Amino acid sequence: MKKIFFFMCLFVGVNSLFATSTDHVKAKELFENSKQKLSLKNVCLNLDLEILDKKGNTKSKSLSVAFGEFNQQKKVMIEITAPEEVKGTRILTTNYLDKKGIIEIYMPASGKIQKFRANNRNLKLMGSEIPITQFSSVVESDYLFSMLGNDEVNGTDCYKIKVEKPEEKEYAIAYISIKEEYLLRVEKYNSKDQLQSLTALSDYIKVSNSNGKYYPKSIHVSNLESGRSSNMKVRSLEYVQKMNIKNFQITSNES
Amino acid sequence: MSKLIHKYRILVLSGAILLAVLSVGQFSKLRINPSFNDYIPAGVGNRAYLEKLDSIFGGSEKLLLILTNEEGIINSDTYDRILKLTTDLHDLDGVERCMSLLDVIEIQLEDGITSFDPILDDIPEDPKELSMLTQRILNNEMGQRFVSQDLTATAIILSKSTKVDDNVIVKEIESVIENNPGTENVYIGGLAYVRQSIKSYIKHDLITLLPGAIILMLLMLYFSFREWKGVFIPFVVVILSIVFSFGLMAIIGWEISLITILLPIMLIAIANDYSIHLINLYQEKVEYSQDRSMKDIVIEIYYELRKPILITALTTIGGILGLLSHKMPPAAQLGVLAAVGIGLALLMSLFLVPVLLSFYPIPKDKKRKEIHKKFFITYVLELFAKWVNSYPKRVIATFIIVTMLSSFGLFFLKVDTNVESYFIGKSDIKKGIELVNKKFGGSQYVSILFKGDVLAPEVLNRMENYTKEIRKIPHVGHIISPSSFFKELSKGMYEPNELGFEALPATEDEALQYMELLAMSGYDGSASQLIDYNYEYARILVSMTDGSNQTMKSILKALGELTEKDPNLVCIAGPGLSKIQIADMVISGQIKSLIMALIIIFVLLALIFKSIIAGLKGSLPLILSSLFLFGLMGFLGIPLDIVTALLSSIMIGVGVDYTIHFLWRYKSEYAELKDSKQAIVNTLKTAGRGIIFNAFSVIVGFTILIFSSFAPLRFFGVLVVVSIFSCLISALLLIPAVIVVSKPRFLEPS
Repeated sequence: MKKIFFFMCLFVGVNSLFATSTDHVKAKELFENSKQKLSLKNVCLNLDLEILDKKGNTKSKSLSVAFGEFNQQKKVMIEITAPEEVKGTRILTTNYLDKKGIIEIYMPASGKIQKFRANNRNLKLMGSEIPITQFSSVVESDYLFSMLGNDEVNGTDCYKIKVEKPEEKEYAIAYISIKEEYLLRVEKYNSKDQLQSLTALSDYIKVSNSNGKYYPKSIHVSNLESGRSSNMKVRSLEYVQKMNIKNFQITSNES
Repeated sequence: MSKLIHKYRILVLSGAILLAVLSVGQFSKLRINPSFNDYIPAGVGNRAYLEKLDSIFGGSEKLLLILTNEEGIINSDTYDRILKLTTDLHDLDGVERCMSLLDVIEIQLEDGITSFDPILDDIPEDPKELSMLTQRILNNEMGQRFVSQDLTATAIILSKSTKVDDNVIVKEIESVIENNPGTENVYIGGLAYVRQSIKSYIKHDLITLLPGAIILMLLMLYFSFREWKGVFIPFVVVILSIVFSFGLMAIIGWEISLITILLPIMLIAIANDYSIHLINLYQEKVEYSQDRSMKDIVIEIYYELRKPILITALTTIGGILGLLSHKMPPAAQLGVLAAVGIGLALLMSLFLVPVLLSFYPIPKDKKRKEIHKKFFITYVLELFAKWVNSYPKRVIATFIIVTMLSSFGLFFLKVDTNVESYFIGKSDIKKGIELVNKKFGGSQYVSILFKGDVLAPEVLNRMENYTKEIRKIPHVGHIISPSSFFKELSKGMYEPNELGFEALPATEDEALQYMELLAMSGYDGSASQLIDYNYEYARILVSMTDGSNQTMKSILKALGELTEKDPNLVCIAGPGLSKIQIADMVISGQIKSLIMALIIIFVLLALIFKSIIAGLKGSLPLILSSLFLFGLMGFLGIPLDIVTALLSSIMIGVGVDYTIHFLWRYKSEYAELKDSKQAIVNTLKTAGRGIIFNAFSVIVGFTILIFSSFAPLRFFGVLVVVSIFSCLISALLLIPAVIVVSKPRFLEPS
């Protein structure tokens, strides 16, 4: 009897150990897949960005975003097309395969290029709540993933995945659709499990000739802490057969 | 009255008890509001500007947490504690912004890469590196706001949301401090904390000192009348009038403020007046009425005293209603509530006191002898009668000299509505205030608000010039200015050898793009308190190391002169500036209410005694006592503040009663004796006794407030004693001396 009990325990223990480990792997894989879908190449986007503060004041910007890859360097070029005061501002993000990325910002008023490190998690898209890394597919290796089960987002069944850094108490919960593996929602929580921000990605459209890439036409981010929110709407999405590297270069006025 | 005593006394008693129970039932609705801004009518001056500022930039009120460590605050333990505290504080609902040393950014352009990095992300172990780090912090303009120059104290600055109550936020902050213990002492500073402390000080003092005052008053009454009904009956009237007034306050929905907290104090001082005189006369009657019933004596004293009691109550109510001329709503509310309380005390004295007295049996002979045993006060009154009758002119001259001498004190009289000076001793709040003012440039900020193209170079240049000029003004602590902010930002855009380094943006577009860059970096929060979201408004924040009215007024004047011609200037406002507006209101309210009260009393006295001279002479003790009180305040350095400014109302309310009681009794004695001097002797020995008992019961009770740790209550205790004593002496010496000298016709039998 004791032996039977021992083997039963052993079976349950080993099984759950494997199950947990499999869950972690699956969660990471699902998350990376969903991010990969967002990672574009040879695509140009035109989009409108609306930023609201907690009092309801609005600022609008129009942007054109181009995604390219040259010599294993992924590049994203964002150019502000409106309003007039900041028109011509360009932001170039370069992700190198073997070293940390750089974000270069060209400011037409000063004619200068400011460089920032791309791992700066504070960097946001033109004062919005949308992180610049939204346009990057890089998933940092030191993140931990765990499967929390399934849930529904606007009627779509989703995997619920917890994403966290080992040394940090803050974490995020990502909702990835079971069927298409789209990233539909990201909730960020503070150390006290209070919801801090919510990102909703919707209206995914297929990017033609892009080898199975999809992109959401609408991204809404609300920061519950600051009361600010941002809406990003994709106006047009165009596949470009061959991207010109010159379009991914920033030069200052002096040069 | 006879019917009431014989038939309805149980009904009267039951009615009073029922009303008291109903009033107590309303007490749960009472709320304390120590906010000073609420004393200022909405939509006026600083308060209106503050509302505008809050609507643009969010909560303007700052709360400071000061961590002190004599061995220094740049160490890993303090770093960890700041990190934990700021994380927890940031999560509080009522905190709009929480900034500490950890939020100090160092903007650099190094190897061609711009960095907006926190100046402190860990504590180096190497002493050389540590020393370099401390130098960088001390040289950083933003860093200077968060550490003291001697590096023994660091500040965490919170912006309080306008939606959260002081008691809620302070409690939450205290709990965060408790949950994150450490070796550093933590002090809290800022107006919200000061207000909350005032609230708890008031509560604490009222709970501990006011019962003490009442006990002392009761003992005084016992030693005066030497029988318990002489204690119990006035006490019942006082307590019931307080209960009814607070019940009314709850029903109307008025809040207990620093001003209306004086209501029970005023009622203790005034409401027992009438019942004391009734008891005094009852004792007088009992001595010579051995074979009469208690009910008969009660009816007799009612008829004898109903007129003077009615008159004294009306004049007191008139004097108190002088408070209606105050612009501060709580002062006017106090006037109404105190008038109602006194009105109720009048009704109770006229109807309830006789009813209560009628339940007692006539004292036995032995007891009566004990009551009427001649004691010290009788000798004093006899002495007074002798002085007044023998040297009336000398008595008057002495009063005039004392008044003139004390009037010089008026030149030293200060008005100070700075709440920071309300705390005395070595309390944590006092230490916190001192630390904030000495080491962190003060917690009281003034905003200079600009509107228009605030990012235009000419506007920014003007702001830069103002910033430089403001630095020269004495007692200015920190200046947080958009121009300094842009100059700091330029360090991340240009190399030190470039023209734009530490300079203002050359064009509006450049400034705008700086702002966009800042927003992209996620540090736009630090700019949001200076430039609004739509770049339409900008402000310079100026802190003051001394919150006194005098300093604030001089700084405000200098700021006004500096910016008066600026086309973009909207206003200069700040939470601390309300007190200047309050001070002005205190002065004008004080003058107006004093004049109004004196006019009302003059008119009432003139009507009662059918003589203008009676109005003038009856008001004399009040005028002299007012001059004496304010003069003494000047000499003793006691400032006129929102609490002490209301003293004159109490003094007038009480003082006029003593005078009327004296005049009324004198008139009847004189009508009977036809001898002025003997009438004065008799009046002093009879009504004078009641007046002294009344005054001493209040004086003794209020001396306990001298032990309060809260300056306004302490001063209030001293001043109540001084003012009531002054009214007492005036009624017992000055009024009879004036009668002897002038032989007024209004006191002749009609």
